[in-house]
Amino acid sequence: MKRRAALEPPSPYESGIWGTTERPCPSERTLAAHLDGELDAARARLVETHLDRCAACASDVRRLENLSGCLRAWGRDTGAVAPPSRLLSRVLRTVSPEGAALRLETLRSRRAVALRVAAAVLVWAGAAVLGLRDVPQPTVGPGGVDPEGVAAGVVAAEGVAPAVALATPTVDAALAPPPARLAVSLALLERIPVLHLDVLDDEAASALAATLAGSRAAGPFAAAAVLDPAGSLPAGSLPAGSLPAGSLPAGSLPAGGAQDVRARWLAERARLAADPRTADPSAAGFTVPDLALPAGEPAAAEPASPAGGGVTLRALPRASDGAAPSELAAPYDLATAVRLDRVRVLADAAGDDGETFGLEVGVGARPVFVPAGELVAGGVADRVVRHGAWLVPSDDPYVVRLATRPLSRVRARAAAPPSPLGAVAGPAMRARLARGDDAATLIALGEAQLREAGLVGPEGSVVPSLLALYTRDAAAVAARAADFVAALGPDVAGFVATDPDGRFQGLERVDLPEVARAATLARLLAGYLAEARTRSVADGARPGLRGEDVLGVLARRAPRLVVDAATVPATPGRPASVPAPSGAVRAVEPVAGLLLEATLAAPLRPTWITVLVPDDDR
Amino acid sequence: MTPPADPPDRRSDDDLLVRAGRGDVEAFSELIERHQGAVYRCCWRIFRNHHTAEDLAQEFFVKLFRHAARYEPAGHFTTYMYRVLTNLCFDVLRRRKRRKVTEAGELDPVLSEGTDLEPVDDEVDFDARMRKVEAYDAVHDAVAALPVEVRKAVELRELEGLSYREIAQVLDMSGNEVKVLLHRGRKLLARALARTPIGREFGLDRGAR
Repeated sequence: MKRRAALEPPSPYESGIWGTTERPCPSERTLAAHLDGELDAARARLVETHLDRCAACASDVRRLENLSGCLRAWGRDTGAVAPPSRLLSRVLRTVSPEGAALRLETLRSRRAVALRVAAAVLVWAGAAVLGLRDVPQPTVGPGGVDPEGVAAGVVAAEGVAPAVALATPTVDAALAPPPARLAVSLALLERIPVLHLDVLDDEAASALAATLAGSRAAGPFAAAAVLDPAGSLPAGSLPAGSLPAGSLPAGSLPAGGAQDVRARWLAERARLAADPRTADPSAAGFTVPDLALPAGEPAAAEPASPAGGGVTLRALPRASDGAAPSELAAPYDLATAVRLDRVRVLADAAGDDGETFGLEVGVGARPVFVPAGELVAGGVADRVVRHGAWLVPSDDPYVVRLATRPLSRVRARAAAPPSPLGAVAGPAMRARLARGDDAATLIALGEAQLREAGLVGPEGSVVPSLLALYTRDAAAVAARAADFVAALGPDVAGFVATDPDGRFQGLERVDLPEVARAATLARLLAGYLAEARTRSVADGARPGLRGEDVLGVLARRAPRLVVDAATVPATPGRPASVPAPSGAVRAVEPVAGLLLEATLAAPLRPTWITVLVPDDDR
Repeated sequence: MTPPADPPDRRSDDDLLVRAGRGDVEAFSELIERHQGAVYRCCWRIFRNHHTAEDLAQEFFVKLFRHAARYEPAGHFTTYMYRVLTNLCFDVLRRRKRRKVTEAGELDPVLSEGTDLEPVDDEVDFDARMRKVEAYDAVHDAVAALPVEVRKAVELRELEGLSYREIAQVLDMSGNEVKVLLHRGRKLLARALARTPIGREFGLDRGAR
C-alpha cells in the first residue's frame, strides 16, 4: 500500500485515497479535478499513470471530456452572441448624471478636507505662536456636502425617476400642478419618455411609493405601477390606497387570469387558422376599391394572391421633379401639421355619408404623413383613417378628402370640433380595422385590453378610455418612437416586436425611400407602444402567427418582403394607361396574416400610398 | 481563470472601477467595453433571450457603478464581477420561476418561447440550423434543470473557465463544496443528455461506471 505521506502535500482540492486494495481507482471527483487541471503535479502524475493501465477510469475520463466538449460547444455557440452596440450608451445615459454628481461631491469633499486641513494648520500654527497647546484638533467632517443641495437633489431624483411607471393624461397635465418635491423627477420623466422602468432595489421602490402617495393630493397621476426588474408587480410595493382610482394595482390580473389569457389566445388562433383569409398568410390579399383621389394621377391595381385580392396603388403629386429623397424634408405627422397651421381640418368638407373628412393642406416645405389607422376624434365623428396618405408640400393650398371608418358608439358622443390625434392603432386593432370588423368587435377588443391593464374607468367610460389608450401621451409616445427609429440608423427597414420577455408580438417591415421609411416605422412603432400599455405581466403572445411561423416566412418567403420588381405578379386587369409599377412594397401583418402592399410609381420617390383594405369593401 | 497581465499602459480593471467610484464615467466606459461581451453572454446563456440579457447587463453595470465607491481593489475584479452578476441573474431567474408557478400554471410552450429571428438563405441551411438550435436547446434545458447552485458552479467552470478556487470565491463556499457541486452537476448533465441526439453525438450514452 502506498503511503500518502511519501507524496507531495495533496492539493486542497484533492480528496480521498486511492491505490489501495479496497479502493484501487481514483474517485470520479479526482478524475474530474485532474481534467480540470486542479491536481498538483505529483497527483496528476499518479492519475496519468493509473489511466494508462485502467481502461475503466480512462473511459470515465473520456466521458467527462466528452461532456465538457459538449458544454463548451454550446458555450462557443453563445460566443457568437454579441451585446448590442447600444448597451454601452444605455448604461452611460443612466450613470453619467450620477457620475457628474459624484465628481462634484468628491471635489467638494476634497475642497472641504483641504480647507479644514488648512484651517487646522493655521490654528495649530497660531496656537504654536501663541503658546496655546491645548486647542483641540479639528475633525474632518463627511465632506461638507449639503444633502439638500442641488447636486444631491438631482442624484436622489434620478435614483427615483428610473424606478417609476407613470401614465398621465398628458405630460402637460402631469406637470401642471406638481408638488415642489416632485418637480425634478417629473422634469426628468419628461426627459426620459418611457412608460415604465425597472425598480432597481427596494429602497427606490419605497421612495417612489412615498413620492406617489405624497402627490395624491395634487392628483397628477392617472396610473402608476412599480415593477421589479423582471417586470412583475411585486405585491405590497405600493401602499394600498396610495394611488388614485384607475391606477394599476399590484397584481392587476385576477386569479386565473393567465389561464383566461391562454384560453383566449388558443381560441383566437384556432379561429384564425380556420378562416380561409388568414389560414395562410401567403394567400391573404384583399381587393381594393377605387379611391376618391384626384383624377389624372398614375394608379395601378395589383392582385395580391391567386385568391383574387389586391390593392389599388395611386401616386400622389410629387414635391418637385427630380428631387432626390434625401433632399426632401422630414414629414410632419398630422397632429403637428394641424398645430402649425400647415393643415386645416375642414368640418364642412365631411361627406354626406359621414365617412370622409376634408383637409386643406397649406403652404409648407414638409410633407405630412397620415397613416392608415390614424384616429380622428370629435366633431364630425370619432373615426379612423381608412387609407394612409402622403400630403405633399405645395406652394398652393389644396384640399384632400380622406376616407374614414367609424367607431359608431363613439360617434354618438362626439361634440367637439374635429381634431387629429396623431396615433396609429396597434397591430391587433389594426388587423381588425383592416378586416372591417364592426365597432362592437373593436370595442370588445379594447375593453379586454383595458380590463387587463386595469385601465377601465367608471361604468360607461370604457370607450373614451379606448381612445385614450392611443391618444394619451400621444406626442411623447410618437417622439419616443421617432427617437427609437432614429437611433436604429437610416438603414433600418423594419422591426420585429416582442414583449419584454422576448415573446413574439408582430413584425413590421417596409422598403421605402429613407424619408418615408423612418416616418412609417415610427408611426407603426407608436402603435405598438400605445398597445404595450395594455399588457400585463402574465399576458401571452398576441393572437396570430407563432415565432417559428415568422421564421418560416423570413426564411422561405423572403422575396415577398423586399422591393423587387420581379416579385410583382403580372396583372391581367391592369389598364393600359397605367404605368407598370417598378417596385413593390410589401409587409406581412402576422397577427392576422394580412398582406400590406404598396407600389412605388417610380423607384425611390416618396410618392406612394399605402392601403390596407378588407375584401368586404369590394 | 487568471486574468492576463495588463500591458504597461493599460489600466487595470481595479483601477478603472476605483476611478468610476469617484465619478469618472470615462474610466467606467472603458471597463464596460472590456467586459460587456462576457457579461452579456453570461446573461444570454441563462435566459436565452436578448431583451432580458440586455436589460440585465445594463442593470448589472449600473449596479456596479453605484457600488463602485465601496469596492476594495484586491486584484480580483473578475471574481467580484461574476459574483455580482451571478447573484443578479439567478435572483431574477428565481423570481420568474416563482411567478410562473404561482400565476401561470402550465404555460403553452409557445407563450414562453424566445424569439430569435434570423433569415437564412435556403432550406438546407434552414434545416441544418434548426437541428443545431434543437441540439443546443437540449443542452440549455439540461443545464437549466440543474439545481441553482450546481448550475452556477457548472457554468462558471465549463463556460467561464474559472478555477475551483475562483468559483469558491464567487459562490462563497469551500473548494471542496465546489468539487461536490461540479461532480453532482456533471452526473446530472451526463444522465440528461445521454438520451438526446447531441448527447449521443458526444458519446454520453455510453454507460458510466
